[in-house]
Amino acid sequence: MIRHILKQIWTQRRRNRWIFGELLLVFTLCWYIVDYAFVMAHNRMIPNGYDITDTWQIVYGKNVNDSTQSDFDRFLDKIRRFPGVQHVFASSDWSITPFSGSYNGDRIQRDSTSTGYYIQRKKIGTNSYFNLFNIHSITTGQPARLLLSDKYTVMLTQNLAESLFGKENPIGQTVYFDKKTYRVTDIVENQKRFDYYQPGNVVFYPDKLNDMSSPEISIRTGSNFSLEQFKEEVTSDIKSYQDIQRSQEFAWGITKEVRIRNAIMIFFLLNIALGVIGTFWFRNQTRRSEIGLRIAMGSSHRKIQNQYLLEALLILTLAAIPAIFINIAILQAELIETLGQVVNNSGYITANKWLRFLITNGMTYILLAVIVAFSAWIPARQASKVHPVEALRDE
Amino acid sequence: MLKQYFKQAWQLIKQNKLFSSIYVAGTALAISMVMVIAIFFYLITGKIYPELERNKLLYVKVAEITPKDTTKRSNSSSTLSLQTVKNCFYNLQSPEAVSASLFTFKENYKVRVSGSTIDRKVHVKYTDANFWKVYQFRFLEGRPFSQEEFDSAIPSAVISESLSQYLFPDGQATGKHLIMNEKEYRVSGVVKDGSYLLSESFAHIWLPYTLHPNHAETFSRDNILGNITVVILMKNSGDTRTVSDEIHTNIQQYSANLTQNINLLGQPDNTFASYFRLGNSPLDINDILLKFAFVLLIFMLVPAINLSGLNSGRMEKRLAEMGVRKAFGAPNITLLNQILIENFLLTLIGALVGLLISYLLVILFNDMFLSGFSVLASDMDVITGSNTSGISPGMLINFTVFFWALVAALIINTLSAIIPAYRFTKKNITDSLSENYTH
Repeated sequence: MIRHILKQIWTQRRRNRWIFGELLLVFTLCWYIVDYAFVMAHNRMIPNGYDITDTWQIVYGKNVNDSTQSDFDRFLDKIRRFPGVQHVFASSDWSITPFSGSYNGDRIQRDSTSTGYYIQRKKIGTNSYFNLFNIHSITTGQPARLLLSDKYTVMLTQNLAESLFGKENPIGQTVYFDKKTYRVTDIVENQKRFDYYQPGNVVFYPDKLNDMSSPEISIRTGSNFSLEQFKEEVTSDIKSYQDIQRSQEFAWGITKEVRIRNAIMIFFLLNIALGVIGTFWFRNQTRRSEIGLRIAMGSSHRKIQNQYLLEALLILTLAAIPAIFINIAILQAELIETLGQVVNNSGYITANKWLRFLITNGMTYILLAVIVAFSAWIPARQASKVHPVEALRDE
Repeated sequence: MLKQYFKQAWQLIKQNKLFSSIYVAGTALAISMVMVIAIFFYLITGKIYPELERNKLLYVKVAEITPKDTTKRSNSSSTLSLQTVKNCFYNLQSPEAVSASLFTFKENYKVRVSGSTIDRKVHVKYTDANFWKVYQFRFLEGRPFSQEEFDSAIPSAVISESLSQYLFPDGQATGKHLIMNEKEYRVSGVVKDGSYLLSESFAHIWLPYTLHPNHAETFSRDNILGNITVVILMKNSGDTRTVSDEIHTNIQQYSANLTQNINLLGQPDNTFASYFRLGNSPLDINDILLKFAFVLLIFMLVPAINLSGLNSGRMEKRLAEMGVRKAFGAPNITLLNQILIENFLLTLIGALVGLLISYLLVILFNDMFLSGFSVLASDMDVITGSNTSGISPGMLINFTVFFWALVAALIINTLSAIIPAYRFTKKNITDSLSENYTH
C-alpha cells in the first residue's frame, strides 16, 4: 500500500511539489515556535514555590516617619481586624513580594574562596510572610520559619542548597554573601521569579524592620472577605497579586511575545490547511475517473478516504525529513534560546539539547499531521462520494 | 479588451466557487498579517494627532557615563539631569524647539474636584512650555501653561477632553480647580484626547515639571544623570545631521571640565528608533529592520507557495482552453495578461477581506503596540480604565494603509501567479491540446 502511494506521489510530483515545499518551510518555522511554546509550558508547570491566590497588595501611599507612625499602625490594625483577612505583612523593601519589578541580586559562596552562585536576596521582617505566600520548608512541610532573633541566619532554596552542598546536609553549615557569614537554618521550596521562568537561587534572611518609610502591605484573605466593602471602609488602593503578575508580564513584553508567536503559528496552520485542501481538491477533479474505476473495482469508500489521508501524511513525512536536518543546523548554530533558564545545571529537560530537540520535533510532526489529515479528509470524503458510473463517463 | 478580461474573470470566479473561496482565504490570510505589521509601522511613525510632525522629531532619553580616569572601571546610565539638559539641549540653536519632560515611573495620581470624595486615577505628564510647540495639540478651550507660569512653578494644568467631561460635566473647565493628590491646580486649557499608543505625548493631565519635587534631582557623579528626557522639533526633516552635530558639540564642551565621559549611545533617535530603544542597551536599527523584513517575507512567501500550487492546478485544467486559443493565434502575452488579471481580481477581493481582518486584530490587540518598557505599559489599568481609546478610525482608514495593502496584494499576486502562468504559456500547443497531459 505505502509503496503504491509513494509511487503515486512520485508520478504526481509536479502537483505535489508546491505542497511539499510549503510543508518543508512550515515544518521548520513551526518547530521554532513549538520549541518556544514547549519551554514556556514546561516552565509554567514547575511549581512557583509560592501561592498568590487570594493575596492582595495594599499601597499605603504616604511616607511613614516618627510623627505618622501611629497613623500607620492604626491603618495596619484596621486591616488586621477586617473580616476575612488571615495574614498581614508589611515591608518597605518592594523587591520581596511575588512579581515585583525590583530585584535584589548578589553572589553566594560557601566561603570567600569557593565557587560563587548568583542569588536573589529577600530580607524578611516577620514570619507571616511565609504563611501569607504559602512558602513551605522542605524539612518540616510547614510554612517556613526564619530565626528572626539571629540576624546571621539564612534559609536557602532547595536548588541552591544542592549546588552549594551537594549531598551533604546543608542545615547548620555556613554560607558567605554580602561580605558576611550566615548559618543555614532551613531549606525552602524552589522559587520562580515569573511563571515562565525556571526557579532561581533565592535566600531568605532576617530584616531588622526599622525602615517602614514607604510600605507595601500584603494580605491573604479567606472566603468571607469582601473586596467591595474593603475598598469602601479601608482603602481603594488594593490590587490582587494576580493582577500584578499580569501587568508585570505585559510590561516585560512576554504577553506580547506569546501573542505574536501564537498568531504566527495559527497563520502557518491555516495556510497548511488551505494548501492541503486545495491540492487534494484538484486531485478530486482530475482523478475522478481513477476514483470511479477504483470504486467500480470494489474499493470501499473508506479505502479511498484512507488512501487520501495516507498520501497526505506521506508527503508531510517526506517533507519533515529534510526539515529536521535544517532544524539540526539551526540548533547547532545556537539560534534557539531557552526562556527563563536562570540556573544552567538545572536538570530540566529544557537543558538537555537533544532530548528537547526530539520532543519538540515530534510535537511539531504530530501537530502538522493532525492539520494535514483533517484537511485531506475534507476532499477525501467528497471524492469517495463519487458515483462510479458518473466518474467513468468522463472517459 | 481589459473589460473583456474582467468579465471573463468574473465568470470564472463564479463558476469555481470553491477554488475562488480557497484562493480568497489564502490571500486574505497573507494580507491580514502583512497589514498588521504595516499598521504597526504607521502607528509608530505616521503623522497622527497630536504628533503631527513626527518626521521632524528627535529623541534623547538616556545617557551613559564612564570615568575619564581609565583606571576606574564603572559605568552608570539613566535619563538626563536638568543641569545636563540646560547645558546641552535647551541652548540648541539649530532646531525649532526643544522640550524636556520628567520621566516618572509608577507614581500614583488621583484627581477629584473639591467637594467630591470620589477620585479617579490618571496618567500625568510633567513637561515644559515647549511641549505645546513640539506636539500639535488642539485646544478645545483655554490655552497651554505659559513659559512664565512654567518658570515660576504656577500650579496650572492642561487636561484632556475626557477628563474635563468627567470632572466638569456642566461645561467650561478653564479657570476651575481640580485636586490631585491633595494639591490644588487651576485648569488653564482643555485639549482633544490623543491615543495612549502615542506614549510620548499621551496623558490625562499635563503640568509644568517645575512643580515636581524631583525635577532637578541628580544621582550620578558630576550631576549628569537625572529624571529628564528630551524631544526636539527640527526645522526640516533633513536636519538630523546638523542637530545631532550641535548636540555632540555641546556635550563635548559640557563634559570638558567634568570627570566623566558622556555617551549618548547613538542618540538622538528618530521616532522609529526611539520606539525600540530599551534602557541603556545599544540599539541596532538595521537588525530590527532585518527581522521585520524576514517576518514580512515569510508572511508573503508561505501563502504565495500555497496560491502558486492552487494556480498551477487550475492551469492544468485550463490547458486545453489555452491550447485552443494559442492554436488560433493568441500571443503568449495576451494569455499571460488574462491569467494575471483573473488572478488580480481574486487577490483584490482577498486583500479587502484581509484588510478587514487586520483591522479587527489591531482593534482587539491594540495594547500590543505600546512599546514594552513604556511607562504606560506597566500601568495599563489606569490608561485603559478611563474612556480614552487607543485606536481611532483615522489611524486605520487612511491613504497610507490602503496604499500598503494594495502593494502587498500586488506582490502576492505576482509571486503566486507569475511562475505557473509563465510555465503554461511556454507549453507547446500540441502538449496543451493533448488530453493525456498529466506530467
